[in-house]
Amino acid sequence: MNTAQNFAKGLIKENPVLVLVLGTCPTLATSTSVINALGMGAAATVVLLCSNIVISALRKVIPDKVRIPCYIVLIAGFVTMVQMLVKAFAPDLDKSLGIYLPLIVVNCIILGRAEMFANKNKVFDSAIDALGMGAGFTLALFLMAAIRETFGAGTFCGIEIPVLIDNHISILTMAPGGFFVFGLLIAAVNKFGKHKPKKKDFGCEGCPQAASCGKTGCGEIKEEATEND
Amino acid sequence: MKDIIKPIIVLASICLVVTALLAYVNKITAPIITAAEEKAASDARAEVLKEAKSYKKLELKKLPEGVTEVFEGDNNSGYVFMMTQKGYGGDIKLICGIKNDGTLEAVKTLSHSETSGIGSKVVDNNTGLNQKFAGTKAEDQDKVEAISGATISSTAYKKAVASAFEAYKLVKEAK
Amino acid sequence: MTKLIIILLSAVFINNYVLSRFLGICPFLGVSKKLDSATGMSIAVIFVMLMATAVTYPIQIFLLNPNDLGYLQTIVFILVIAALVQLVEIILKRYIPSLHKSLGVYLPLITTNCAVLGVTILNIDEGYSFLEAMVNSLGSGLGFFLAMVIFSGVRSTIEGRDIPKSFQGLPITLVAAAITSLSFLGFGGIIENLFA
Repeated sequence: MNTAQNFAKGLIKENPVLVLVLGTCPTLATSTSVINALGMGAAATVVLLCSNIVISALRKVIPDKVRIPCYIVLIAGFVTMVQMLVKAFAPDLDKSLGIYLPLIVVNCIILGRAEMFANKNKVFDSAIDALGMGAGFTLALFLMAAIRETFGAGTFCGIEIPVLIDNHISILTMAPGGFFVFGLLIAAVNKFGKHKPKKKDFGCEGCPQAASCGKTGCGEIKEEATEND
Repeated sequence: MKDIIKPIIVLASICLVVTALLAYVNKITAPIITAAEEKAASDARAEVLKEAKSYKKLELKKLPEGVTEVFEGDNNSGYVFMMTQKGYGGDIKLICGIKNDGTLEAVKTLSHSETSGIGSKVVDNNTGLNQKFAGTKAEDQDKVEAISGATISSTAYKKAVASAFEAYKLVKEAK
Repeated sequence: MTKLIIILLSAVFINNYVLSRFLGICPFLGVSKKLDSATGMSIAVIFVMLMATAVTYPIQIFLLNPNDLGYLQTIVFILVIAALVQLVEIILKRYIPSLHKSLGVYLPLITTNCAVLGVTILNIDEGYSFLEAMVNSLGSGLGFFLAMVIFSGVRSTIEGRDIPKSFQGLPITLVAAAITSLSFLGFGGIIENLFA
C-alpha cells in the first residue's frame, strides 16, 4: 500500500466513524456546532498522531503482555498534554468541549489504531495512518456538525444564515437530533457507499477488547453491520 | 524470570517518562492558564461594574444560596456577585454588578447549557433577560416578566438575580 | 437531603449519561439487543461506577490536590479504573463464581467505557462532597440501567419489521435511540421545581 492510499483509506473507505463506527460518543456529543467539531477533530488527531508515532517507535520494546496498559498510559499522557495546551491557548474551546476533552483517552479510534496498525508498522506509515484516520474522524464530525448547526441553530460557524435562522429546528442540536442525524448519515453511507467493508475491518475488531466482548456488544454490532452488505 | 521483570520495567519507565513530560508541560502552561482565567474573570467584572478600577474579594460567613463569590469594587462603586443556578439543561453561571445605591448595573451570562433557541433566549447577553434587569432595583424584580416559552430558564435567571440582591442586602448590613 | 435527592434524580433522568450526555454509547447500542444482557451490563456498570468513585475521589482529594498534581487526573483515573476492574474480576472469579459467570463478560468492556471515566471526572469538576459524588455515581449508573432496559424494549419492537434496506442495522437503531432520547427530554426542568 503506498502512502497516498494509506492516507486516503482513513478518509472514506475505512472512515473510523461512518464505516467502522468507532468513537461514537465524541461524535454525537461535540457535533452541535462546526467550531466544536473541528476543535474535537483536531485534538483527537494530534493525540492519535503522537500516540501512533510513539507506539510504533516503541513496538519492539513494549512486551506483549503489558502492551495495553502501556498504550493507555501513553495515550493518557498525550491527552493530558493536549488538554493543558488547549486550556492555555484556546480557553473557549476548552470550555465548550468540557468533559469530552479528557475522554479522548477512551476514544476507541486511538487505542484501536495503536492495536491494529501502529504496533505492526513502521513509524512513517503509522504517522500517515494517524493523519488519515484523524482526517476521517474530523470529516465525519464536520459533516454531522454542519447538518446539525445549519438546520438546528440556523448558523454556520456562528455566522447567521438568512431564512434558516428564523426557521431553525432546535431539536437537531439537542441530544435526540444527534442520534437521528448520525443514523441518517450511516444510512446514506450504506446506500451510496460502494465499498463493502470486509468483516475484519468492521466495528470493534480494532478495539483491544474485541476478544473479551465478542460474545456481547461488539459481536452484535458487527452482526448487524454486516447485515447491511 | 526475564518475562516477569521486563514488562514491569518497561511499564514503569513509560509511566515515569510520561509523568516527567507532563510535569514539564504543566510548568509551562500553568501560569498561562491562571493568567488567562484571571483576565477573563476581571474582564467580566469590569463589564458589569464599570466605575470600579480594582476589586477585592469579600469573605462572608453567610451567603444566600446560589451566590458563589462577592467582590467589592474600589472608590465606593459597588459590588460584583457571581451566581450559579440550575436552569433547564444544567447550571447557569451569571455575574452581576450592583451599584452602591442599590441599582443593578448589568448582568452577564458566563456559561450555560440551556436549549438553543428556547432557553438560550433568556441567557443571551444581547437580547436576554439581562436587558430588562439592567438599571432595576431590588423592589422592581417582580416587574420583570419571564420570556414566554422558556419559563424554567427565566425562573432560574430571576432566582439568580434575586439571590444577588439578597447578598447585596447582607453585605450592606454587615458594613 | 433535598440536594442529594436532586442530584440523584437529575443524574437518572435529566442528565442521563447515555441519552443526554452521550457517554457509554458503545454498550448502549451493542448490548441492548436482549433484555438479560442489557440488565447484566447495566448492573456491572453501576457496580464499577460506585467502586471507581469510591477509589478515585479520595485519590484526587487527598493525594493529587494537596501535591498540586491535578494535571495527572486523567492518567491516574484511567489506570486506577483499569486496575480496579481487573481486581474485581479476579476476586469474583475466585470467590463468587456464580456472579462472575453473569457479570464477568461485561467487566473488561467497562475499562474503556467513557461513562465510568466520565462520572469520576465530573464528580470532581462539579465540586461534589464525597457523599454527593457517591449519590451522583449511583444515579448515573441507574440512569444507564434505565436507558438500557427501555431501549432494549424499543429494539425488540423493531425486530423483524420491514425496514428500508439502507436503514437496516445500525441506522434504524440510532433513529430509535433518537426517539427514546426525545422522551427523556420531557424530564428537563422538572426536578428543580419538585422541591421549589
